[in-house]
Amino acid sequence: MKKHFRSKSLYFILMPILAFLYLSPFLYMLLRSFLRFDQASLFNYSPTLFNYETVLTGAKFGHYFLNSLIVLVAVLFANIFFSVPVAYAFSRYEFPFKKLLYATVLLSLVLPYHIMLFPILNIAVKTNIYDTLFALIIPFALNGFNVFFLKRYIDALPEDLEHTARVDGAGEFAILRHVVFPLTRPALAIVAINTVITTWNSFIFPLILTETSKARTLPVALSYFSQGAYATDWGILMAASGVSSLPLVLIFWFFQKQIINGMTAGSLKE
Amino acid sequence: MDKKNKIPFRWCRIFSALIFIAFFLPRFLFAETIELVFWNYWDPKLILPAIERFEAEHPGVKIKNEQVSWGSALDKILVSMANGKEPDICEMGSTWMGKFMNAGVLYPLGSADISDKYFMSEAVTWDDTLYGMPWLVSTRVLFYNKDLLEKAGIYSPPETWQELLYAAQKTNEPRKGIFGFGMNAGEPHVLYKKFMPFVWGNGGEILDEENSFVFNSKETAEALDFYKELQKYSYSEKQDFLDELFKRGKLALNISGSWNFSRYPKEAPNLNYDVALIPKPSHDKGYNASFLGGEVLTVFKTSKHPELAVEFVHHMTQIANSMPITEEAWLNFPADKAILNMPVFREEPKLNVFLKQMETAVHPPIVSEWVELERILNKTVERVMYGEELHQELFAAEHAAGSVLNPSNAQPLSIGDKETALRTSSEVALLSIIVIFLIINALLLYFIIKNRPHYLGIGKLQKKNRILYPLHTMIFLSPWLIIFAVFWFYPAVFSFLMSFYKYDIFMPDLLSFTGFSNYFSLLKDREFLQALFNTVVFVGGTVPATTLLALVLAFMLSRLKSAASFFKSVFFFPSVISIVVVATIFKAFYSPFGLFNALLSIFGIEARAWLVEAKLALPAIMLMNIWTYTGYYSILFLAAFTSVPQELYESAELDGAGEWQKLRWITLPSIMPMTVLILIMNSIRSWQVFSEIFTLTGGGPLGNTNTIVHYLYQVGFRYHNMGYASAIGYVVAVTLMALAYLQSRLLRKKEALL
Repeated sequence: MKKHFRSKSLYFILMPILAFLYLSPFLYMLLRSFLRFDQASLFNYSPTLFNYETVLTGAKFGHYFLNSLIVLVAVLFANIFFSVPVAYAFSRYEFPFKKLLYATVLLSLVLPYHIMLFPILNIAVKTNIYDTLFALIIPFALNGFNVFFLKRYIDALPEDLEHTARVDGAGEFAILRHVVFPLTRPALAIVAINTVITTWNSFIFPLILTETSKARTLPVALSYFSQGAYATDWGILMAASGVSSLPLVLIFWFFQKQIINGMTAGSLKE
Repeated sequence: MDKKNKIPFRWCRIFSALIFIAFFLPRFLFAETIELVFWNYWDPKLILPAIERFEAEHPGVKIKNEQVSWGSALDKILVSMANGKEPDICEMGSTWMGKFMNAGVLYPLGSADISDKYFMSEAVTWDDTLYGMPWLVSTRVLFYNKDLLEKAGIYSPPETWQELLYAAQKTNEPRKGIFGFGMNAGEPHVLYKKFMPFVWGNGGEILDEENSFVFNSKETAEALDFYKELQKYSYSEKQDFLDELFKRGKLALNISGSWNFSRYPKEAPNLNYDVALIPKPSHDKGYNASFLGGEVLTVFKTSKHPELAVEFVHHMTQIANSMPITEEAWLNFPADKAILNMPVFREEPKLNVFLKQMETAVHPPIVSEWVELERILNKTVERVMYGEELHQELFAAEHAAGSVLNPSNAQPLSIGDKETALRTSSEVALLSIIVIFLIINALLLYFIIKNRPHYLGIGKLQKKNRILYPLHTMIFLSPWLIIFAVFWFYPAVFSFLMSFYKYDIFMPDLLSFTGFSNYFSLLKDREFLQALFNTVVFVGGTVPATTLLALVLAFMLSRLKSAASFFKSVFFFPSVISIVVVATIFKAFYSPFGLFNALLSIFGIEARAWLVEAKLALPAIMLMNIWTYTGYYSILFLAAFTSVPQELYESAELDGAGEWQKLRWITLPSIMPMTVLILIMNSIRSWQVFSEIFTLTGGGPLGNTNTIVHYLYQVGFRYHNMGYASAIGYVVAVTLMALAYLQSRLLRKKEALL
């Protein structure tokens, strides 16, 4: 019992220190974003809102922000909406070329998407979605990893409920909507998180597939801030970083229980 | 048709009507306006007033101002050209002009000689024809800290190499954190700008009159020897940090640009410094050379209103319209030589030095292969600075330049020929996808018809326990099939075909089948092999470390009874943040005055230039990568922990098992599937590491942080050799597939993983 207590108190001392170290780069960003210039020490810390004012008034930050948000929401909902039926079909149905078609999912996991940059650009130009938000949404409406992940999850689910529903006369769409969707909700939480992270982090495709500020997203706009001039204005850069991270920080702050609980509940069964 | 189904249709109608109005109304209203697209790299607030003046003078003309990123501008212009979507008016770096003028894509502005009126006139002239107007010009001078020099007994700025060396030696006191000279490192693209002045001043050249490579010369060798000598009393970092170090009074001598004038007076009012011309070899030899470069405005031939665009170019290059850009950050000056008589420049002694320096500053040669030559120069200087043998490197540079300069003078791009080989082949490929997609669907349809009796029964069929729903299969799968066909299959096939061709965006006519030669040259490509090695190190270092740390962290988190969710959030947090933001923070974090060095100094470890030193850069990025993703994977592990049945632990406790035994025999085996998943996810991600490298080091120093995918991007988009890039892509793809297969075999338990 005593040993147990000691190890517990160890965690209680260790965890806050670890957490502080882990977050220190962000604390630095926050502190630096309120400074006009570099200051030698923390003791004469004199915060100013100048950097934030410059960021929020200077460029079309709100516009980029909205672009990023639209892309994020659209890609997220498209993935959730499309990946369950696909995974369900791969998991439960039999059809010709099933192995071959499922191999395409696995193939998309291992193909480095960077070799696709130029051909995708070509398609985007051909189909006239180049330099629009559609170019950042349509190619990413369905992600191979999500299908792969959900298929594994549905494989592990018992088929009894579906059979019962079928015997009761439910159609396949109804089964999908009322049986499979609710059952896969924990896995969908992981799918959602995976999609949010990759979409928000997405940098190269928005860089390549957009050219004007019309469809520019935040990461690209941020890179403009950081490489625009010879002399980097760290204060403004840090403020811009802070502002562009804010939405996900807020989403994370309000939904952290759901996000993390979703992942915790979404256990992978043997 | 019940009532429910009608409502969506009504909405559809209203919605489509709105789209129709939104789409056509503006066109109808502004049918009379002429629109010109203008690409530039500046904050719109500096550009817009000048544009408004132009629009006021030219009613019916609208200038669409687009701010493009300076860093990716060249790539973007190339891409826009390949797709026929060039802007009308475009700002270009003066060193790129050779490429564009040679390609014949620019609209000629006449044949007037403007060398009396403008700086950099040589950069916009090709075959005695003018293809652009110099807009903004900049150069580098020697900044020196008066206090530090006087303390060392030096009362006038160094004028010769020997004096510079002496001053650097005298002022250099690393133990006190004071350095003699600021030497560039870690930023390959600025290296030559700081080094070439010494070659030029010594009478050396990059290319001679006939455009053959004469860099491998006695003059260059002398300059490199001198530069290496100077390195002993230097601090090596990126330009940003050197300027910062100088601002803090820790650097005695620094070659830098006029942008510091916008910062030093405000941020360091007590800094006692001045500027001087860049020293020449000796009092009786050479001259005070410097680097001259800047921005020019050009009009693309594809513009529908070239005359108007030219007028706009002349409008923008007026001093009144370029001064706001200068005054904002003092990055550069108007390229109009009239500034020589402007009081703003004449009466400020420091700016006067810049004007004087500009008279003897040298612009790099205007050739179509400059981008490639610049890369060779930078690589040579960088390798010598990091300790490689000088003559060997110069010889290698000559060899590399020879292969760059000779083949490509062949054929310029034929204008107006938009039906290039690539376009045709891409259309064929697109068509073939649609055919494949149709075939798949036809096969499924055949299957439906064949099984129709069963299908028509009660809508389901069970045969040997197999569920057959052909129609639903088709509907459910089609989103994936479409996405896969268009955005994976076609690009994959297209790049596969490309990997057997030599294809250059600039010279689509020279598309030629080369068989396996792209793959064979990979085996001999030292840069590729280095990138491959770096990637192996990166994956081998980060994947086990991240997985292990995540496991430990998850274990610790699972022990916490209270506040667990708070700590979970803390460790999960970095993975929510955009990688560009993370990299930006780490750029500051790893800086010489950054938090990382400060943290290490607590443990008595001395400050290092983490992203610049050859052996430290890759580990530094790996550390950042581990830091970013550990939290994410630990939450996944935590999810697996909670799925372990509690009964197992309870019965183990009854049998007297300790913490360690429970972990070893219950927890670890139970979370095996999750471990496999994490290892695969992590490996696949790490093999493709790109954004971190792109943002932090661009592959440098010495190519030590270049990874395969970053190299692929460089080859494809910077040096636009798409065929070779595709070949690299396929090597990566095959490696990844083999890796995934191997992992699944090694870690397979009872069930097949994939």
